[in-house]
Amino acid sequence: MKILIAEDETMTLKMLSMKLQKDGYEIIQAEDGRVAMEYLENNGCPDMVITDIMMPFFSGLEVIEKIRKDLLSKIPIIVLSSMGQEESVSAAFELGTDDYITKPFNPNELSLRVKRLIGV
Amino acid sequence: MLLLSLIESDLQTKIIISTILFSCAVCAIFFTSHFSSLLIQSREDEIQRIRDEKQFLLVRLMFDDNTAESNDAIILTGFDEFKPIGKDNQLRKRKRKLLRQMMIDEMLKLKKNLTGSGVEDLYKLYDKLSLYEDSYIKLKSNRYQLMVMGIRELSEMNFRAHYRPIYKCTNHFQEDVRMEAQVAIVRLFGVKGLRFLSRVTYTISEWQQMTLLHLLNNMKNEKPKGIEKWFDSKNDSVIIFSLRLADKYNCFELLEKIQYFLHHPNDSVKIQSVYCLKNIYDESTEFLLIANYEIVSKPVKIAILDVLKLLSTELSIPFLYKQLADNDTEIRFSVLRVLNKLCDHNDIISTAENELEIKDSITLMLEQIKSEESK
Repeated sequence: MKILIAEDETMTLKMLSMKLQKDGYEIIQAEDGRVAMEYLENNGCPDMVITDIMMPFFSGLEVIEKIRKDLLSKIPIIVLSSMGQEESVSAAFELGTDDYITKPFNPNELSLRVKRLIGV
Repeated sequence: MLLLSLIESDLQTKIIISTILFSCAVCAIFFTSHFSSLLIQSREDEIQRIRDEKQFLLVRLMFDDNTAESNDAIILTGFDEFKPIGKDNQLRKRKRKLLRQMMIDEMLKLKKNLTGSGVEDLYKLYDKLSLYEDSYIKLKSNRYQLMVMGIRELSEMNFRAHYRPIYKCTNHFQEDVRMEAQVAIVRLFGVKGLRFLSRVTYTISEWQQMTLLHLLNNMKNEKPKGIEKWFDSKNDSVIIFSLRLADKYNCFELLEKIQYFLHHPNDSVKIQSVYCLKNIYDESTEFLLIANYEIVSKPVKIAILDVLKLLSTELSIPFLYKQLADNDTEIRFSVLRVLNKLCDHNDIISTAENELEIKDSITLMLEQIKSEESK
């Protein structure tokens, strides 16, 4: 199972990658929106995407739009949002996001949400 | 002719020499800048490489299934440069300091996005690597910016052992240091940390009060003890903040004391006590506010009318109609907002028509209030 994580804060990206790798997933790291978009264009959709909302070059919303509207994929998407980004979270749900988690978050909780959505 | 040609050749020689010298200078500048940029680049690459390495180790320590022994081994090998070294090696000492600061920064960044047991692990690691020593050195520095950094690091990493110097700084003459120390002591001890209110002589700004209340909102804590003691403070900002605390923690037992502040000489204190009475009140509060209305300034009057929107009963109606005669439009607006809660629009207009000669303006104001409400 491949999971693409798009997050511009390197520590959070590494922490999530390690946590989910331990759960047995293959992780693709994208440190900004552009890297995530490039991956999607070149490789198509992975089995799941976890994306931050505010990122350089392309926002998380643009990444979701690409998956749902351009690639017409229904893969599970989890949004990582910060406090005060309620409007962006609503927009993400309108675009077809499946779940969201607010920073600061418990990595174990995220791991459980991933399991629930991916069905493993 | 000979003289002229000699002068010309001398001039040409000078021009050639100058051109060569100029070219040499340009080349030297070019090579120096190129070499410097290469040096800076390689240094940045080296820092990035170390940062990546330490980030990886940090994440491994926290999220890999390690035993205590294997964690110790990682710390021993992965953080070798962290160990204290001889006095003579200044360069390594500086490098060590930079590395440790890098580690503290990474830990703070990670903590920002983390909850649960991971945060506890971070605290333990900060302690284990003795990074608190570096933060403490900053706290003891003479430079305010460093002091602020040190205080923030120690409190963010929940390191309570050095709370005394932080507590001392809660009344520091430098505003940034003082504000950071007040936040830190509340972050470390919750409501118990509020005891700094007993000693603070400087004004606690509105922004700082909001920051402290926000911090307390995110903490599980009980009602603070000794609010009434802070009511006696000579520092008006402490009284205002205590009134906000009494409001936040629903201190109904302090109602009498809160009402007493309606007679305080400072309008800001009066206004805060009025707003506090919005939540902490009894059946007499409505009449107490009305009784004080005539003797207070315009901003306090507006606050009283604002609170009466919630507390007033039909018994206040005669008083409110009387206030419609006030020449101040803002006050009239506020009065109408209260009346709007108690009476029908037509009743307000007809009663006002009988008593006053300002029917048109009242009709217009009521229409505006109606449109505000519909929004």
